[in-house]
Amino acid sequence: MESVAHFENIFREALESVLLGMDCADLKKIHWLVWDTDCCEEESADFAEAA
Amino acid sequence: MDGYSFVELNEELLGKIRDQWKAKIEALPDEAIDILWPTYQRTVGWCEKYVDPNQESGDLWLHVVVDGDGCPVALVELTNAHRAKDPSIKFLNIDLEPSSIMNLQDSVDQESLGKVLNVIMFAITSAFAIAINQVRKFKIYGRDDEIVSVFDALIAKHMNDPEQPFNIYRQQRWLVIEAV
Repeated sequence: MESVAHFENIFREALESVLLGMDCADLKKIHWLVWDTDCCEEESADFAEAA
Repeated sequence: MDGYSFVELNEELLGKIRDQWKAKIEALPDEAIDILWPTYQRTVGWCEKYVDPNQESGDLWLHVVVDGDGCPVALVELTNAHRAKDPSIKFLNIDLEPSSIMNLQDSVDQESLGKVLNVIMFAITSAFAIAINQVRKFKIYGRDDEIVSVFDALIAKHMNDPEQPFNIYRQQRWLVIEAV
């Protein structure tokens, strides 16, 4: 549990340091914050293949 | 964290995604519906295949972040490659519920953004906890340069931490975390 809490702390700090303060146009470049209205159905499977 | 839970996608949660996310989209202006509706249909269709026992989903492992009221607030795409030569759990993507996404917004509400980041953090931390317990290796895919910047900031921070309980590094666009 200690490693999970540690990871959460450092990831949150990094995420907030980059994202908080960004303007709307830049935030829309972040895939996690938008729905990709152009992507194809097989795209996620492609990610898995590429891993 | 905020009463969220992290649950593998099942028929009940799919029903909630289908109904509640549809209602949220239908409450938007017509122009917004036109933009989001095809993605909604594609996502629901994909989830239907996942919960269908007659369909093969391979290593794909879909989860849902559920809020304290039982409402689905995000769909999380993981793969669980525990039988691979190099076992790991991979975090591929997160799809937020329609009212949280940035597609149609013209300005940033910092309070709303903070809530969204809480959901994302909960999803990543939950997947990380599963990965470290099961296969001891977790990977996160950075599809855009902004998230890769987050990875680099995290690595820089971690390098200065003398009591690190895991190794953390970047492999092309993947952030890799391994238990020591």
